[in-house]
Amino acid sequence: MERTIIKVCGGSGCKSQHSKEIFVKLCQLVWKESLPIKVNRTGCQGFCEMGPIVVVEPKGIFYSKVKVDDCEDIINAIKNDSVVERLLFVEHEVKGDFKRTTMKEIDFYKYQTRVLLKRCGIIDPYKIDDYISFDGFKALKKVLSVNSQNIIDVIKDSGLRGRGGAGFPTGLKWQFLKDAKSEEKFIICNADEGDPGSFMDRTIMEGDPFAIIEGMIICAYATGAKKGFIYCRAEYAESLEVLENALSECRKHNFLGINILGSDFSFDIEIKMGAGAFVCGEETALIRSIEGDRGTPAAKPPFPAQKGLWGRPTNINNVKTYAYVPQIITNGVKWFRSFGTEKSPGTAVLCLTGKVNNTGVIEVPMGTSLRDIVFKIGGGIKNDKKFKAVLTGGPSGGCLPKSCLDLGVDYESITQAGSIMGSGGVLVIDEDDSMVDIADFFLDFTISESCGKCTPCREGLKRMKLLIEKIKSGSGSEKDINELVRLGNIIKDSASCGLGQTAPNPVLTAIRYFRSEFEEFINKSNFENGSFKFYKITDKCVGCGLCKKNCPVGAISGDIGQVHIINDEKCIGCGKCYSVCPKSAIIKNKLMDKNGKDKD
Amino acid sequence: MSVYSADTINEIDDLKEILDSAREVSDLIPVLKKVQDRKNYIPKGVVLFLSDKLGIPVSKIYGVITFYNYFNLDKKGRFVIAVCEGTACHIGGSSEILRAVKDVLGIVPGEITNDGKFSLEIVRCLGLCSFGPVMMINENEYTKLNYDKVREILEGFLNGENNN
Amino acid sequence: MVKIKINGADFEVEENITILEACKRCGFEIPTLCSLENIGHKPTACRICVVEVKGARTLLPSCSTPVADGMEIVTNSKRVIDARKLNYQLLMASHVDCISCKKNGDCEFRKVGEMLGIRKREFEPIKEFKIDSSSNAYLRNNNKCILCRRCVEVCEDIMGVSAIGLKGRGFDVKISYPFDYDVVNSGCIECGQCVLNCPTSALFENEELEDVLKVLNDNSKFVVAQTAPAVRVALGEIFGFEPGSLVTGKMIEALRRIGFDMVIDTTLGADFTIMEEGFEFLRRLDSNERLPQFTSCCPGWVNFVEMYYPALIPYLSTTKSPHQILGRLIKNYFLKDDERVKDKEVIVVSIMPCVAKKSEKERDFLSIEGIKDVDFVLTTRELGRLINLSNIVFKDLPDSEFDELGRGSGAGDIFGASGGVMEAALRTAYEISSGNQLSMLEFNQIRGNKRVKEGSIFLKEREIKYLVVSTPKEAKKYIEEVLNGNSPYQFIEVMACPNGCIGGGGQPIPTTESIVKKRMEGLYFSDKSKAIRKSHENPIVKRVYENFLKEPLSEISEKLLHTKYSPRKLYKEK
Repeated sequence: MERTIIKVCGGSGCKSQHSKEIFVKLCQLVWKESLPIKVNRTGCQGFCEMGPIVVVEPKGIFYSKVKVDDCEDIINAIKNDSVVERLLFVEHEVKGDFKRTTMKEIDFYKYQTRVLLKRCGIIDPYKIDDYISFDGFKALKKVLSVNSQNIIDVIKDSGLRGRGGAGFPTGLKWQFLKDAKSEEKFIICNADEGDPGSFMDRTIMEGDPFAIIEGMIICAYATGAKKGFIYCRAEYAESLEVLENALSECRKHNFLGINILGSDFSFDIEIKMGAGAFVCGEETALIRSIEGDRGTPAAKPPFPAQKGLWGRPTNINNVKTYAYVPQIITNGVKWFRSFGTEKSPGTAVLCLTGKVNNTGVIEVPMGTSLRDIVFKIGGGIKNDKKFKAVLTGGPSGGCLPKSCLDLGVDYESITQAGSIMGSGGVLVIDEDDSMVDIADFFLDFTISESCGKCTPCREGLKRMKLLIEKIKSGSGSEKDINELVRLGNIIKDSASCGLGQTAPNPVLTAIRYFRSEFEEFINKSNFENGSFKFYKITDKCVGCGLCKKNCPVGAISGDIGQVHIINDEKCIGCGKCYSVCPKSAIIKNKLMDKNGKDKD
Repeated sequence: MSVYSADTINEIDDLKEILDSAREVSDLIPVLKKVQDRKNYIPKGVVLFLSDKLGIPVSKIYGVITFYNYFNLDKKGRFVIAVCEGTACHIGGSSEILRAVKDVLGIVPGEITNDGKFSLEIVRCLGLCSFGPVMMINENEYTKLNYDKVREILEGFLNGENNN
Repeated sequence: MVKIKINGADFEVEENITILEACKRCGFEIPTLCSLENIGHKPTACRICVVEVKGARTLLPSCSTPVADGMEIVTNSKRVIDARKLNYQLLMASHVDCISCKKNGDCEFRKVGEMLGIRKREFEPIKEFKIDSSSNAYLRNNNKCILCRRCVEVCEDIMGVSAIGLKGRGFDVKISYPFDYDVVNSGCIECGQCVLNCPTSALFENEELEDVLKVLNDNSKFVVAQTAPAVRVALGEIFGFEPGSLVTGKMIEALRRIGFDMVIDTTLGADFTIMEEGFEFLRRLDSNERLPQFTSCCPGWVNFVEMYYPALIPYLSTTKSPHQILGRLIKNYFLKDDERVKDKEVIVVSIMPCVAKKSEKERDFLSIEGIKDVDFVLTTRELGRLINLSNIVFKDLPDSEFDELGRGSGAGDIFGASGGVMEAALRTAYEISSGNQLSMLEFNQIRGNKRVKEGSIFLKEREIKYLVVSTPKEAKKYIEEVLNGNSPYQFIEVMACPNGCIGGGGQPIPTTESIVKKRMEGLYFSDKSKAIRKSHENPIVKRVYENFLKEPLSEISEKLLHTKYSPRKLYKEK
């Protein structure tokens, strides 16, 4: 009989829900009774929302939202060859049998094609032997006897494109570095994942760190770099720990260091931490940051391959891009091209969030339709609401409406529709969400994350923000919407780096596909009952005077027993009157922020 | 190059180990990070010291510190108490909150307790006017406060109930 | 050479130049606000210089994008113009109040606005900054700042001081002194190179025109103007003269017409500086102490030493700078018993190529019993404004001469160029110590526009090595040598501004390397055309020593012509 293995997810999401304690508890139980069960901790399994996740192999029984107290039941179930019913995952389906016992049966996993994520959630990210037994370092051993140009040719032929967002052909990038003449060359792994609500890179770092390292070693061998850096966000404490361990394991096994595996090739990797600046995901800014300077993007040319870190030729790829490399080398170009489309081969690792039933990190072949992602993997919209849009590419991306649902997820199609692939965030928006608010939210993000160097990004985004505020306040006009489009387009056209060139996307696409929502604010600037700024007292008022007494600025007048009146001039919109009114006679201007805002 | 004040030297002394690890320009950010983690802020003396040691102008280090979200230059406690002084909260009695903080912790806005555990600051409207007076301790919001409630909350912190 | 197309027309240009440069050579002037070719500064921040390049996804900054063979560039499409206009408007959104601006015709920002045909403001300003007027030298008004970062670049890259930098990021980014200190409490040496390169009036000299006008209109005041040598070769530029044109005569006439009671030459003060500094040097040579001696006539340099290298203070010459000496002598000697100043207060106004002199005159040891050596300092640019204000048509002015009691030697003239002080000092020190005449007065090895120059001469039977440096950046290495006790030099001249006073922070805008070179030629020409070219041969100098000062370094000389320096703590507690 196959040995039973309990896999406890140790990704950041599950860890925050005390998966570590679960792991310890399970170990104790197994040890106490000397059971023939192995307890493994794994990296992120992607379905973070359902965490902590525990999978019992070989059957693949999938337990979600596990608590420490559930551990005994899990062990008992194994002993009895049964399952703990209450911990099984329940599919969000209207009819039929919707309880799922194993991972394979769950829609979230069933419709995925896990290539890059194949080891995530399977192996122990702290154990190099796990990786090795799972095809690890096969590719490295293969390349060390091969001419470096051949490796680059394989990558070129595979059509692998940078997974950081821009989609630049990876092989070409490597060729630039190889051809650059310099004593010293560097490669960098960009792990400065900063899009709000995206954590694909983190999943891979915490689930399959050795694949990234192997990819980097192969890149270094092919391009002639002797030193590599992983630039990772300081906030990713777990990732940093996993990577540090992986690096030292690799050094112990001579996958890193001098004369790697007996060849005359030497290479090592160092981790550099970001200090909280989204713009450092831009490669030239990232370089400045490693050098110890402000992360301000520089004009290209010169490209990093010409003049990068400390003025030396440098290649920068995303976490996912490097992680692909070993598999492409091992399995070949044909295999890689069997996934995805002609121009965008391979798979896409995405982070599915928002108003869908199943959220988490997923992987699908490039070209998979948004519909399949949202409705098959995502299990449809939460609470049976209506689908409104998806926002791809995070703060640099755009909102795509229902009419784009059949669009395939690949670089070209998404860009054509006005959005970008970006690093892979997919935010699903339902009928309750205001597109204006969402555009506004992402604009806030890019404004605070702009480096402040170039005029369009620094000043222009702020002006867009002011226009949106004006529209939201009800004092906007059709002209302001057009002005938003004008500003947005010119900012895209004349900003210095990728951040500025994409920052207007959420607003522009929101206007392109949901213009009526903006117009609604304009047409409805005056509320049904006549114009008022924040609050209005209706006829329901019995004249108790409580609102008048509680108003901090003396904006309410009226005699006892009479309907009271709010003076809009004085009102600061604090909402005190609204909350104290015993008769719910006070109504709120719909267009106002949720709690009202004191603007002093 | 620069002449340090007595304060500066004190600030630096207990960071000796961290500062000694600064050897080249690219060590700047990692070292600042360690200082930030230890002190919860970057003392001015550290900036002057690193400027000298690494040969980076003070203005550049200042530029780096103010660029990244991770760093701040003001001394802050482990628990940052932020009291809303928006109009609504002000009239609703935020001064009572400040009085309670002073009575329990002995600090006024802009100050930090001797053990470095709490610091107090005044913030502009938090947008929670309907629930005022309001204060935040780190990420947590405390609403509809009065003198006694604040005392209770702070004493809870002092007794270790809320320390996580 | 590469073939390119600009707006449809074919051109051939050199490889490796930028689109901006290529366009310039082909007759297209692309506006730009942040790049400063002079210093290789191209942060690609303003996005005014963007152009369309066929095949490129977005517009490209022409200041940093190199040309390539077959490149097709469009500089004047609607797409380009719309982007430039919007970006200009966005810059203007954080730039207040053009009408009341002092920058007048010098404002690059306004010139570009003119070029783009900007007629009205699209966005109302929403940022507000406090104006920093803490310094006597210049004001920083961030309400005018368009964040081109030139000042930061100049301060770091040219000056090696790095007193200013960036604070924050995004919309909140601003140019700032560390820890938000104001100018006087920061590490700024007040050289004014940032002022010279600011495209707006975010940085502007602390104007003293109003005060000068007030004393000129006050009958109880006897107002003396003295002019530094570097002014006479630069002032003409403001009025359309070729750079380097020597306009001494017109300048003097203008000052008289403006209403100054007396116009004298700071070169006379320079002659006294040479006598005192030269003797000081000879004395140090004799005792072999405090060598090398550093010159001290540049207030920016003195500030730098006091702030960054206080240990170097003993090596500085204690001699005051020329205009301070002359101001003191005017008040204590030349006009002491003069009938013309009976019952009047003597006011000395120095016309300087410098903004640091504005602060220098306020220093503790540069006034005696409450009376300052110098009362006001105007920059070359301010004099230009004063001339315009007085309805004077400069180019039509006849030539006039300095008042007889205030004329200097040719040695004083060359003070305005880096190397000049050293050359003037050596002319005198050599002749006085050896008793021999120099066969050739020109010390060519320390002339020209290099930042570091050196030479050697035999003085008192030993070989004296001397060094001439401009900018603190270049001086640092030699300072370290001195402090480490392994400097091979005995005499070192340092000027803060590149190429000395002719490149000073108070000079006309623009001041570029090529313009400065012409000003330099003008000064050496002025020296050469003078009959008296050595300080110790100036009859006025001789007379003053005979009748009043006795001899260099005498008790009275020490009292009136020498000063003290003290270390200054940087970033001390507020």
